[in-house]
Amino acid sequence: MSRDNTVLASLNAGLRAALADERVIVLGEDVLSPYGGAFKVTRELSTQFPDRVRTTPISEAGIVAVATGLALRGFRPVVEIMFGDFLFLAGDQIVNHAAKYRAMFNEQVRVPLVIRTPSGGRRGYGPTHSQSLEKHFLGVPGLWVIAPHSLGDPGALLRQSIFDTEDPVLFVENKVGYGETLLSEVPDHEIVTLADAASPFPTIWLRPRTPGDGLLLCYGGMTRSALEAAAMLREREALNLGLVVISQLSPTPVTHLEAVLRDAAPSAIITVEEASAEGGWGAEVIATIEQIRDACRLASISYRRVGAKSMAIPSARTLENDVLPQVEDIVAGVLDCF
Amino acid sequence: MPQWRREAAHPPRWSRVLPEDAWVLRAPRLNANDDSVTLARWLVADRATVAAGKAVAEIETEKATAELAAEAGGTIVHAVAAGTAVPVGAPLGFIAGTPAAAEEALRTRAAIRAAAPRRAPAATAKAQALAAAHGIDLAAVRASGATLKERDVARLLAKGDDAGADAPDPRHVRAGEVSPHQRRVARDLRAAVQAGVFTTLAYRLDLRGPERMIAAELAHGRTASLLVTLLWGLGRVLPAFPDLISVHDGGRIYRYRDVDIAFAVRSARGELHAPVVRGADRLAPDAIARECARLSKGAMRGKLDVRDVGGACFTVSVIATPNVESFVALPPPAQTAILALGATRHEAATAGAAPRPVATATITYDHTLCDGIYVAEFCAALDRALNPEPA
Amino acid sequence: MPTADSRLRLAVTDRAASLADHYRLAAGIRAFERMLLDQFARGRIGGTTHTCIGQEITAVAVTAALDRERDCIFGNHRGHGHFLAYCGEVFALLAEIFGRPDGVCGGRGGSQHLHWRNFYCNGVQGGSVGNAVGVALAEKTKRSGAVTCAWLGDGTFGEGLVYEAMNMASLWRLPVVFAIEANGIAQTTPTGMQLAGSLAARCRAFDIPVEEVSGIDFAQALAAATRTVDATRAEQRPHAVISHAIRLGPHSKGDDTREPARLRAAWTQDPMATLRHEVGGAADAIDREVAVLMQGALARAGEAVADEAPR
Repeated sequence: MSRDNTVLASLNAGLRAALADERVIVLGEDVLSPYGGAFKVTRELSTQFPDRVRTTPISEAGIVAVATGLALRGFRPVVEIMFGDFLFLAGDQIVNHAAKYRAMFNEQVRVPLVIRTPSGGRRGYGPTHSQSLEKHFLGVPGLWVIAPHSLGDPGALLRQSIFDTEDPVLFVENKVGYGETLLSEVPDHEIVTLADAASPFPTIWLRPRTPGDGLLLCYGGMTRSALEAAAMLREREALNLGLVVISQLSPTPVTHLEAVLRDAAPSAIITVEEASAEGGWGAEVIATIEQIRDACRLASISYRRVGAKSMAIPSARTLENDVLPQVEDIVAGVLDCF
Repeated sequence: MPQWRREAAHPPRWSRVLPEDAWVLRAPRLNANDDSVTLARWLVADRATVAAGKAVAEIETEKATAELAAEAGGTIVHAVAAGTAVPVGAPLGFIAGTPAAAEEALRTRAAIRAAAPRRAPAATAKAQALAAAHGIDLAAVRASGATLKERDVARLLAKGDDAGADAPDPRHVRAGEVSPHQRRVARDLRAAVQAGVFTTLAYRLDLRGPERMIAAELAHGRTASLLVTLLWGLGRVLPAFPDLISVHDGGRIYRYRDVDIAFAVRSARGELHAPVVRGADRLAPDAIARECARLSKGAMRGKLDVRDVGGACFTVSVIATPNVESFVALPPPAQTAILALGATRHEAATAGAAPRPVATATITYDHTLCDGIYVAEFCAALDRALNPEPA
Repeated sequence: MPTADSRLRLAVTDRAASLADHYRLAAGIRAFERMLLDQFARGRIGGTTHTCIGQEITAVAVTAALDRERDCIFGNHRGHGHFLAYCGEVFALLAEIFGRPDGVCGGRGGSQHLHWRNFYCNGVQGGSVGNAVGVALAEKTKRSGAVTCAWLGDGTFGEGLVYEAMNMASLWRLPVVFAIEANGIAQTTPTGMQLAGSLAARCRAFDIPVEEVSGIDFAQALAAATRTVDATRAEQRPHAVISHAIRLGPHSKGDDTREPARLRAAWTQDPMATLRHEVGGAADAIDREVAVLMQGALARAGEAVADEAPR
């Protein structure tokens, strides 16, 4: 497996390229070389940019607060929260400070802050180190929630988050996803990229070359599982699914969903997420789709959400596998619609 | 080369031999990042007796090597071979009080208890619901994949009475595939009959004239046949009946300029061909005979030149098998009429008169362009052309 | 938007200003806060507010010691004094609290969420202290020489973020002035029931030099503030000044649970009275001036909005 063509390598390269702009400051715990961050995303950045890559005390709220202050004064800070599970320690700063200053102060200030953090389990790290908590930050006004994946260009997405928006971005990476090789093509599918002024962070629409039966919607670390499930379904069940890989989790990219609906006219839509399905991203996407379905002139659609069960994620591998969604769960979810 | 570091993966615990149960030797986790390790080599032989605390195996990862010690004493059985990579936590061997117990452990607990495989349902919930709503036995539905889906049941419902058609009938023996040739013929015929409104007129053709003609040709040392005389007669008569050699597209009518007449030939392989005699109106009977012979030979061999097929304005088909009174043929695409001649029979025109040779010719024609009276007149004209002297 | 009308603005003061000037500013703040409470009581304003009655001279003293051109300030929920001491924009603040489009933040922020030039405030306890440290880091990186002043109360020291902020400010040697208004009460809870140890010890624990000063004597407060700000700027590391002030008003409106006798005793310590006494004869005229300004601002705030243009 090439080490250069992975999600991790792309993020590291993207951050390195971003640091060429002097407004960019990287803050985080244990980000200095030689360690380079718990998941190595900041590998060797401090050697190249010693004044603008800062290691911090273990103060998630403090780091985000400081970064917010930096952003208010014209810098473009990129903060690393070591595990997505720790997001709530900085929750007040994210929701009540960074995401609100622009609106509260009547558009007089900007907070171009990026908070990067890895979500996800499947490494046996246990209940407080395996979660996908980005779902709780969906729908926060003034906050983008963005997730890279191995079908796009993670480094470019990170640079877009840093430079192409003036508002705070919660950039949610995936722990296991770091090692995935970037894919530039998918058999039997045509790759269409959707992005517009309303929803600038790209959605990848994998349009099946032969007419499809339904759609799988996913983001981040579940993309590979969704691809695998789609291949399995094509082979074993003669079901042809298109895939929609979303990078903009919040605000919901309605224009992209509309474009895909009109193109695909699916009879079934299955959302796939590693976070718990209840009260989560899939629910938001399905509700949005159902609201625009009439305008897209579609007959009724069968829906399913595939996600983790609503339980603490156990540490033991076999128990963890029962809670987190596997490829078989996606297959079962799809079959439920047929 | 991995760093050579000897260290015990487990601190030795001096314990007594466990009589009842076997103790499982598991692949240890040597560091946070490696989910699998390699059993580099066994330090004790298979089925050897070991004491608790003794190093029994050497474990390797990319970064480190460690020794694994037995935590119980007894007989050890190897569960994996040296050099095998195993996931952390997988059993490498079993130690039990007796060799028999150790073997037993190996047999019954060798596999990792993986998560119970999720089995795909034989039929999806929607399929079951639809089948139940219509009283359909799922066993009768053919699945489009590994799992029976709603659409499979729906397909069955749409077929209605043909429900049994899909299941193979035990009285049938699979007899091959419809050939491309058959498919083509069927396709052509289907297209042809959809292009017009076809009906048939039957005419009793007097064959005394044709028989005399054949006899005359043979007397001159030339070949002739009923088909040849027919072609000759049609060549004379068709120009006077343009509605039988015209085609239409529902709006405009096009008349064939040339009187090219096709005739049906069956090849040795049973394939139907329709080679064309070009300009039959200008050819003498012996020329027609020669053409027929040439074309028939080619058709019989299944090898016809592209110039010999297609573009005919009319087709003739003869079935001379005895006792075939008549048959109805269908015109091929781009033709308006076809003449099908049955077997020769002998009949008396009136009671008490001498029997003479006749055959029933059927003309299948497109009623869009002409009607029965017209076709009857054509048949009478053909009869007169073939039988110039009054009977 | 802040008004161009100078009649509706208080004159701000710096280190060179006269005592009378400082008094005018402080009296203006006192009058403003009183007017606000009166308006709330009359039901003319909705929402909530937190007045700083009794703490005016601390705001004036610390702000006078700062360099208005480049220094940044983070006020808190009880920030009207901090705001007015910084820019004097009486009408703009009143309009904001009235929810008018010509308020400081177009009516979007209200009493607790204000921004103007280098002044910010947020109503969440302790949150803005962390932001202030970030701003100080930004200004240090830009080499602007700016000092960032973070206003805190003693109750704020219940929030963990304050300690994270002090830790980082000291660790990274950032030019932050922690201006602490220790008024002995947090909402309705006396400090003694909230904080163990001492405020000063907390600062020293992070290696932050701290000066404690009375919140009643203006000259002392100004001198302490001047020393603190100058040291911070020169040494490029955080300093703290603890002003032992008194909150003479309620936490918000009508939620003062202190014993009336205690409150009366507190009023005898009113810093404004002391300052007024020092100013002497000119005080009466200044009080009238301030009253007129407030009336003008109130009248204007009550007028229909000039144009309903989008905010």
